[in-house]
Amino acid sequence: MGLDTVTLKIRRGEGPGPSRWETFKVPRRPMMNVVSCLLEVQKNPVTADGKASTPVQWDCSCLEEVCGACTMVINGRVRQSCSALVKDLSPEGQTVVLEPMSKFPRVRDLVVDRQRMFDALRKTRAWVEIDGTHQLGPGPRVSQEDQEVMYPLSRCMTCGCCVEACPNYNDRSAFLGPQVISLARLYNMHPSGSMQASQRLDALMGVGGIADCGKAQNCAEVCPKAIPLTESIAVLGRETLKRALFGWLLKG
Amino acid sequence: MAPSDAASTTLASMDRRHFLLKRLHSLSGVVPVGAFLLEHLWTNARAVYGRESFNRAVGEIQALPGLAYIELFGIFLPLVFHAVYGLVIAAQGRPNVGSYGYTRNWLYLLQRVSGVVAFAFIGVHLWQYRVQKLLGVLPWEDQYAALMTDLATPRWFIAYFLGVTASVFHFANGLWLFGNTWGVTVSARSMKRSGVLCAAVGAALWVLGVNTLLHFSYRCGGVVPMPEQELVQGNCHNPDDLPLRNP
Ligand code: HEM
Ligand code: SF4
Ligand code: SF4
Ligand code: FES
Repeated sequence: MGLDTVTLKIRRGEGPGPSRWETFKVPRRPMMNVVSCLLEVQKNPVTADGKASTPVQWDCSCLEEVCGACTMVINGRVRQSCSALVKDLSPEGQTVVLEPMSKFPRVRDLVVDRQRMFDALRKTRAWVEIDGTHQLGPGPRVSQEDQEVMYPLSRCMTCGCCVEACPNYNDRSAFLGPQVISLARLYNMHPSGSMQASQRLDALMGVGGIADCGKAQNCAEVCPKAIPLTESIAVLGRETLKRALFGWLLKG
Repeated sequence: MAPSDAASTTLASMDRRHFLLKRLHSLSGVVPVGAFLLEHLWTNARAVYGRESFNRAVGEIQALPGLAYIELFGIFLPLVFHAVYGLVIAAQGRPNVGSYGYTRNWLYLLQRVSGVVAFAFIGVHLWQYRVQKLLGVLPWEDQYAALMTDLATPRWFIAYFLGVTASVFHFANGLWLFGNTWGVTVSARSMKRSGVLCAAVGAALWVLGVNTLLHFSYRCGGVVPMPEQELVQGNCHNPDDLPLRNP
């Protein structure tokens, strides 16, 4: 029944303005993903009931689930649209519902502004500082054991799935979210990054820091990179506690 | 690095109050509030051995030196702090079990719901017994009779059943949260094990608490029957037997 088309129901709108739902029917082809459906809408922006509309806006870049740009809420669940296949979402012609992530300001249609995540990276200095452009020689070695912990943490693409699913990350709280906590753990383990370890811990002790996690653990469930976010939160929970209690003794 | 970055980092490093306040909230849930819950359910359970036994247990506590200070600074104020700050924390979350129905996410929601239920219950419970004693409506000794009459009514039995259930759930899940917050359970495996342990602690406490409620309610013809040997003297249907309220 009707498996020559895909039905898309899309929440549309501009900035903080009102939202409206529009339904599109696009030709169904084998191996389609949500991005290729949206490309079809762009070619022929006419709604299912025949009204001329405008092309739906969305973001994407790598098309292989490594950049995180195409993240949106698909059938009520946050994920990357490039790796969301139509054959899984709509095996029997079910409508595919697309919404922008709800935790960030909407720019237009499915495009949101993830600045709050980048601000959080800055607050926690979630990077390795470089202190010049001159040749510093080879970096210090990292043990095999540490590499095995660090590699999974380094796969984060700042896509926003974890914070979208986190009940404590919202417009009522200043919570920085699980992603930067995990990245702070990564850079605190890094031999050069560890030089700013205490600054990262301090940043995580402020308002919106690690103590604002409510342990709902949705973040680790939805992370497309299977990053052990809850483990990172517990590890840094321990580190921040040590610093809060004994930091002044060990040189504040 | 832009100067504004330096400023914001320095500012952040000055402010550990938020972190410490949250940790104080977490700690207060276990000690003293959680410890009091354990003690309270344990003492009340002595009612199962009869009126004398219950009154003796309560009497031992009332004989503690400086009890008023212990109650005020050791229990009441920490409870008020935990509860009020708990309401603030709860108000900052946006539960989303509809979209993400994972077990821990449900427990996140239930932790908040049970906190609010416990808050209402503790308020009613304090009013019903403690405030009535202060007002001189209830006697200071021998509350056994009053408990029997009250819990014999299905209305109060249900209210206490819900209140005890919510408090015990909140405490047991709170223990899990505590272990995770304080960096005791860090790996996925230890979190799972701690979940089993906390569920067992919660189940045991719940049985202890509900059993006491059943005891009080049954003696007065309540909801679920108790073993035959409990059916001895003292039936609160006869108001002459047991003085309920001060004249
Ligand atoms: C029966 C008395 C109570 C006991 C024994 C108790 C115990 C606990 C414990 C052990 C925790 C875990 C702390 C942690 O996250 O590490 C907790 C958390 C919490 N409690 Fe209570 N509590 C009680 C009453 C209340 C009340 C009346 C409220 C008010 C709504 C409340 C609200 C909360 C909230 C919201 C949390 C979660 C905090 C977070 O996840 O950050 N509690 N409680
Ligand atoms: S931690 Fe996972 S879900 Fe969160 S931003 Fe990184 S990749 Fe995305
Ligand atoms: S564990 Fe913490 S960070 Fe992760 S979803 Fe829950 S509240 Fe958010
Ligand atoms: S386009 Fe890069 S993750 Fe989907």
